Amino acid sequence: MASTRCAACKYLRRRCPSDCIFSLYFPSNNPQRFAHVHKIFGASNIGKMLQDLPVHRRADAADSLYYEAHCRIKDPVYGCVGIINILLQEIYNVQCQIAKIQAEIAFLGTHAQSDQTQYQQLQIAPNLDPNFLSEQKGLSNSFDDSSTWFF
Amino acid sequence: MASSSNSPCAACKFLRRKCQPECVFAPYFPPDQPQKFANVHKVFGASNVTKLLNELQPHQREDAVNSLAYEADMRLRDPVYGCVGVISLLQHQLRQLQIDLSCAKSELSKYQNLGITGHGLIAAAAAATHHHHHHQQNLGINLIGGGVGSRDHPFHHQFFPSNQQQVIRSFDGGNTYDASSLLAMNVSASIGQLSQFQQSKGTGAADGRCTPVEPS
Repeated sequence: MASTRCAACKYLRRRCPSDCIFSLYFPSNNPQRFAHVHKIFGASNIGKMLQDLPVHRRADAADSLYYEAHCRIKDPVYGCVGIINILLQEIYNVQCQIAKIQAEIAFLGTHAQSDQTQYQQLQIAPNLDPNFLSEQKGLSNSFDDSSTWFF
Repeated sequence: MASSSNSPCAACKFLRRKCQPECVFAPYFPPDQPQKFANVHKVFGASNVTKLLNELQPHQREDAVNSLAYEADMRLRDPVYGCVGVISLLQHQLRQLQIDLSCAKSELSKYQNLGITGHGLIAAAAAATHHHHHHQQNLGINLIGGGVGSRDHPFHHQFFPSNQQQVIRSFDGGNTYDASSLLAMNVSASIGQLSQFQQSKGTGAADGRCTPVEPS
C-alpha cells in the first residue's frame, strides 16, 4: 500500500488520518515546509491555529506561518521583524527624497514666477534702466525667504 | 531579574512553577507584563522559546524575545497573516512611494529645463531692452507655487537596531488584510504619516501613471 501520509505525519511518524488538519497545507513533497513551522511554532500550536480558522483561510494562514518560520530560522534574533524594520527604513528614505525634490520644485517654481514677472515688466517698459532689473531681483530674493531655506 | 526570593517572573507565574535563579525567562518576562509571556506561549510555546533562546548569545536574547513578543501579538491580532500582513502592506506602500518618487523626479527635470530656458530668455530680453529692441516672445512659463509637503519624522523610534542584510521577499499575503490591525509599535504611525504625505500632493496612480505635482 503506497504511503499517502502528509509531510507533518511523516515527520511526526504517525498515521495520517483522513481528516488530518495538516494534509492539505503540508504536502508530502515539501518536507521542509512542515519542518520549519514545527521547529518554530510546534505541531500542536499549528494545529490549534488552523483549527480556529475557517477552512477558506487556512491555506493563507499556513503560508504565512511558513514564511514567518522561515524568516525566524534565517534570522533567529529578529525574524520577520527585521524585514519590517528594513521596509520602514526604506519608506522613510524614499519619503525624504520626495520631500527634497518637492522643495526643489517649489524653489524653482518661485524663481520662475519672479523671472516671468521681470520679463513681463521688460515687455511693458522696454526703455527701463538696466539697473532696475537688479534692484527687482534683490527685492524678490529678500521677499522669498524659502529660497534660502532649502540650500 | 526575578529570583526565588523575589516574585516569580511572568513565565513561571503563568506556568505555575517555581522561578529558579537561573530561569531563562526571568530577565525578559518581568512579572508586571503577564500578557507578553501569555502571547508568546500561545503562539510559540514555552519549550520552543526556551530552545530558541538557548541557541542565542546572551546579548541577543532580549531583542529576540521582544521580536517574538511582537510577532505573537501580531499573530493574535491577525490569525491569518500575522506579521506577514504588515510586511505585505509596507511593501505596497513602498512601491507606491517609489512611483511617486519617479513622478517627482520627472516633474523636477521639467522645471529645471524651464529654469534654464527662462533665464536665457530673461538675459536676452534685458540685452535687447538695453539696445531698445522689442521682443514679442511669450515665455509661456506656468506660474507654479508648489508647496513643500510638510513631513514630520515618520520613524519615531526604531524597534531594533537594523543592521541586518535581509533580502526582502515579495510575499503577497493577499489583499484582505485589515489595516485597522496595524496597532503595534511605530507601524501605524508611519502609515499615518504616509497617508498625510500623499494627501498633500498629487500622487502617482497605482498603475504607474504620473500625476503632476499640484500647486498649493
